Amino acid sequence: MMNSFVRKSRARKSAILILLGCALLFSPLSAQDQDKVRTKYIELDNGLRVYLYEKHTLPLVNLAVAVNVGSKDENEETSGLVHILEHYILFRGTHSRSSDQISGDIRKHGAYFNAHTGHDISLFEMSLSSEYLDFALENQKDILFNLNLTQEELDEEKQVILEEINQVQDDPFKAATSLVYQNLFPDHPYAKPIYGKEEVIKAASAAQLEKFYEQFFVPGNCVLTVVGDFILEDAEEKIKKVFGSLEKKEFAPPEFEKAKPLPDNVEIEKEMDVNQAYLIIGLQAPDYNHPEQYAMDLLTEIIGRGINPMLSGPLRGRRELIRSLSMGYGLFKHGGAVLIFLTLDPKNIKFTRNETLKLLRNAKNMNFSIKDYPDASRFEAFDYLESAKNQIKLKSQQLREKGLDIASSFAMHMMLRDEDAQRNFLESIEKTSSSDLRETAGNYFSKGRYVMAAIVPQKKK
Amino acid sequence: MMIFFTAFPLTPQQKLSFLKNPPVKRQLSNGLPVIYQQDDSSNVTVLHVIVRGGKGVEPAGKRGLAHLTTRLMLELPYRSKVQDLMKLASKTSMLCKIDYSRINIACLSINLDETLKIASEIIRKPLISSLRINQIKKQMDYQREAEEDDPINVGPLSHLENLFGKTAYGGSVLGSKQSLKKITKKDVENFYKAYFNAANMTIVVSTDLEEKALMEIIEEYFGKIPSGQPMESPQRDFPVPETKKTSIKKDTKQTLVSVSYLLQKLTRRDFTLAFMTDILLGKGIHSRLWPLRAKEKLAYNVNSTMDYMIDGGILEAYLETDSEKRERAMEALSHILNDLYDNGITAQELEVTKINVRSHFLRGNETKEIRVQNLDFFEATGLGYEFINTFLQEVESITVEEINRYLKNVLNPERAIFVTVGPEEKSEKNKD
Repeated sequence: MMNSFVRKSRARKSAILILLGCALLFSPLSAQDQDKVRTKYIELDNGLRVYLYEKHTLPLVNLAVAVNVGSKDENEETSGLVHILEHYILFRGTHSRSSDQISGDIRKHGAYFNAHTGHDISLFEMSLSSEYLDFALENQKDILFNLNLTQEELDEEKQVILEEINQVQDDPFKAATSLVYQNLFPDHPYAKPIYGKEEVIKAASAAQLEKFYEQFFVPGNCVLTVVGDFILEDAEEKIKKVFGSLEKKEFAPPEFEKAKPLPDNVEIEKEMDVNQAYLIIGLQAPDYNHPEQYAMDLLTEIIGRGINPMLSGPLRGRRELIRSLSMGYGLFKHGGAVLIFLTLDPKNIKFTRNETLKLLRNAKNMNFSIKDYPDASRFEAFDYLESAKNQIKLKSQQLREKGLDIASSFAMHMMLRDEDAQRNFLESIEKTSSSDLRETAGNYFSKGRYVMAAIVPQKKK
Repeated sequence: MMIFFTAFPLTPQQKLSFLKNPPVKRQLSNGLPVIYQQDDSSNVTVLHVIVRGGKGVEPAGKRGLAHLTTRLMLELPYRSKVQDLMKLASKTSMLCKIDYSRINIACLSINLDETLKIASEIIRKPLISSLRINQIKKQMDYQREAEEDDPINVGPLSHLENLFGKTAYGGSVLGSKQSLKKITKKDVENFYKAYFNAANMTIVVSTDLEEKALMEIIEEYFGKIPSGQPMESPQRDFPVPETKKTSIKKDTKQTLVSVSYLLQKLTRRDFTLAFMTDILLGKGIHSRLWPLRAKEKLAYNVNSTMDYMIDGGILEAYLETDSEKRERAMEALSHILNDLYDNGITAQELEVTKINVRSHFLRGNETKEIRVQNLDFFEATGLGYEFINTFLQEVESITVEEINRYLKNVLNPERAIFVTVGPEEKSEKNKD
């Protein structure tokens, strides 16, 4: 989607849902926001959970449907089927409309229409003028719960998916990210590539897909969020009318173990036609419902984000080891990952790795707050903790400006949170102390093994 | 289940204005214009300082000067100041375009006063030293290398060169290694002196703060910027390019296949028509380019872009395809564009395009950051900030005859420029 008349560098759209540094997206509303915003949670008789959120800044309505199915639900023989299914649902036909009719309908209503596949869930998004809410609800119900799977259409969509995989392999950071994830969670379903395996995709049959579809695309395994310019009561009535007719089906979600610690460090190098090296260092981190996720969020801000992150010191400074730096935190239901993204001269890779790990290993002993210092020396100390808390506050506020982000965030939050989890993200962030950060750094950075993926320029022949 | 399409007419209110609080223009005591738009959807302030000194006004042989000078405005001289901004979690960044440069500031509104105190000081009194200039030149070299690593960015740069040749519109805003070498400290000082003043700057803000409170803060920190003299921008005309086809070798799995067309000088009407053409052509499902993906299975990514400057613009249609399919992709892409040129669109397709333009425009103005970017563009290119609230009216007034005339004019196959970025073509290898 073009968001501006001003063209920046052209980022490609990705259908892969890897959440980095987005934990705050899932933050429930603070008490202050709840006073301002009208929201409502309902659960239909068929098990579909629905969250409504009025937002009247622009005449838009945004829908997100999260389905509890992701690459975690695949095995070696089915790796990539969820991704294919996501494509098929979005771009192919149902029992009532052909793919051409559906895309024509989407066009006629001026809708933004997209979907993403992740480790844990698949997410289907739609954003359009608020006068078309009826259409949006009918359309999402039709594509998600009335799919017509045919081998012919499947074979057509496979070719587009193979093009998507090629595109990822041409993008140095995306290629490196995929390598890190495949190695960070050994013997766990998260180790499979979200895009899937080419050989599985090429051989996939409509019958295989049908099995996945029948099992997972039932109302009790889905969450619908609607955010935008509507009256709560009207929208509730419409949703009940459209989705209430769906039959209730028994569904027992498969259970998964938490990701086990990485037994050894992994280092991977891949050559591509690039001018500089692209390096990612990944470590395991707290999962989506882990109480240490707030400390990890703050550590991510402190060490690798913002205008002058802590890691800049040893990596930039006089040595000038790197050209760019950022850090992300991916939260999943059964595991988590922090990823440090660097661009640099290939000759600096080893030194950069050593310096990065040195800082991470030492983080358990660091002072993050001015309260860690004696009164007399506080004037020269920098309060990293306060800075990180403010950065998260700013991002949290900015995320509230965009309706589709709110819808998607709540849909993912409702799907990923544990039932008994009672929490408010910003309040938990505020309560986190410097000693909490040291403890979490000790648990994940000092003891944790790492995966390093380096994309380097091709050697001259 | 049947889904019926019903095209609801727009209400008069929706047609006239989509922003509850339209932007207004004010002026500081030194004459510096401030465009203010109130939005209480978040407690965030986004403030951009636009400088009418972009790549387009760089002296010959000094490509990269505008970017370099603007980038210096982010270089805080003292570590303590950097830490103050970090503590507030205020963000600063910059962008250099052809017609203008800009400094971006985003912060929690409660921290605006403290943020501007720090950020404005370096704009008013930058530290222009050879050491800092050389550091930024090095960063620009790195950025250029990164830009060249991604085929999707290499394509547009090639189009800029082909369409705008050796004029200041051609090439990257980052200049080249050679042009950066030629830039001296004196060049930077002269550029700063000429453009970083009230006569050549505008501040654009979207905030939840009340106008009075905001203007007091801005006056405090920007009211003392020298008034200066408005700088003239040269008028440019671009001859028909000589190079029609460029093939750039890159060892990738996919090949970028891209076609571009020159757009005429910027007016509100031409911008509206170009925007509509971009949406019609490549934006979203069921666009004109969509069959390249859905039916021909040529690509995952099919798209079009429109990039407008004061004296001209580029409309580009492209796809990324398996390198084996390159020729078929080029043929199919040309076929779609030529069909649009030959036959135009129907009244029904125009109505559907208008609906898409409207929702695209609304989504493209939802966040403060993007809305301020759009206001920057309108104001800096002479379309005027008010255009954000009349754009949809302009769209509504376009007739099928007018858009078809426009398509006939712009998409002339004889003026199409082709660029491919990918592995060497096998046929070329064979020739060798």
